[in-house]
Amino acid sequence: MGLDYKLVLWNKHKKKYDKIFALSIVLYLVLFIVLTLLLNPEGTAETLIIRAFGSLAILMLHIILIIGPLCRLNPQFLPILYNRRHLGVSMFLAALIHGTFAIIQFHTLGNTNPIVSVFTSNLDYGSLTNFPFQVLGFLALLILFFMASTSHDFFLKNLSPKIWKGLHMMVYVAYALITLHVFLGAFQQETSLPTIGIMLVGFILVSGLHLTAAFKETKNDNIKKKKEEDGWLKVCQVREIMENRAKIFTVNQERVAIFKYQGKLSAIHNVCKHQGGPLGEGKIVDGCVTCPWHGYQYLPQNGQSPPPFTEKVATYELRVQNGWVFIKPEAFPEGTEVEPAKI
Amino acid sequence: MDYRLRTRHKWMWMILTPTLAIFLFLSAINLDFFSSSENLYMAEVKGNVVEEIENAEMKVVLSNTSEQYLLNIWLKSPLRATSSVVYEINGKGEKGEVLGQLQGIGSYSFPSTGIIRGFIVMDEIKNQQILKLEF
Repeated sequence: MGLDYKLVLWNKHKKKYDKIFALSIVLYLVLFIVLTLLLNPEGTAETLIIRAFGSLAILMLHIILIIGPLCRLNPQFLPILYNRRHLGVSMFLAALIHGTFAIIQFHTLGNTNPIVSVFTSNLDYGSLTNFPFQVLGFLALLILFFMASTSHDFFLKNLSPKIWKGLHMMVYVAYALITLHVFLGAFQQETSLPTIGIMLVGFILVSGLHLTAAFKETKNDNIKKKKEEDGWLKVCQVREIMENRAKIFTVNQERVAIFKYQGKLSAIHNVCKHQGGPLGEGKIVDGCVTCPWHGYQYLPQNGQSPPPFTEKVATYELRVQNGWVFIKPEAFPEGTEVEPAKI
Repeated sequence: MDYRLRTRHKWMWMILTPTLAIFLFLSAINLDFFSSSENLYMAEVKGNVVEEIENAEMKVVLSNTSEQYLLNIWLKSPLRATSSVVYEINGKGEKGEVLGQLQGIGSYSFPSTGIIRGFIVMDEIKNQQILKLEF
């Protein structure tokens, strides 16, 4: 876990998903190349590479962007989340190949620095037809480079998960830039109804899923629990929580997971310190709350990762009365030992 | 995600979705799906038509105005090289001055003060001649 910075848990499922992704990438490239050679045999190898890797990067970006909201809407999609980081880095490499070949093809013939040429060869920013769309692609590539180069537990640890996640939300800006790069670039030069249709469906899917997930989360955030006179919140009945599992509640706008185990109840902050995974969707394994995303573990009674690991999450005080569970909304500092509530 | 990140995520998509939709709509209505681009092209030719050549890949019209000659190229299908440089043919029948660049399907208009005898399209990366056309 947090002791070193190795990529987490190379289990057989991770390897299997990696193989599936790698095979799919190869299959897509082969299919694209064969179809292009059949339909447009006059095209050059450089153009073929630019188009094959550009379209591959866009397809992968769409898949990456729908994984997050899909998992929030339906936990059954969680297994695909495990490999999102590998998929992200692979997508950056595909975009890099596309960008590098495009710069070589279009900007290395003159005596201007190719990178400078990307920004200065076309200054028609007022036109939609001739908009300098390559600038948009270049800026998106810079964002993707920043994200791919920080996609390692070293940066996650040193930046803190909250800042890391906040910075990685820049992928949404990259998505907007790439969509405009395609619409103001490729589509203006070669208008093709099917490809425009596919991109539009992709946009509706990505934005629709993100907005649906966001509003669902807001709805959960706004659920008000009845506060008792002594400051405790009545949350649920004990029998509603399954053994070695948790139920998640919103308390003071933060998610809290209440776990039931060995005749006891404990409550911890729902957000894993690793990548912000939902601890309450995990289960208790070997006496530890285990994050469903990457297997980070915490002791339910104090929110601390078992030694030698050092991660800590906030804890909450619970009370059981007449089969009902009550929680004190004020969180204790991370890693504070709290006596579990006896059932 | 904690509460702040969830809020940031929601606002980002609430801003991105309509903004992108407007830009995509504007760029889509700007695309020419249905009108005949040949008619559009012909309307754009300025001056008197001097020469006109057409094949499956392109239509070339040489026109002149009181000030200059214009080489008008309507590219119907993509060339072998995506970015190809167009040269004027000089008096010796060889590659002369650069007139401009062809990038993809569309219409191009290259002005020249002198008479244009023909043009050569070059793939500059491979240093290969793609097309030579003399009027």
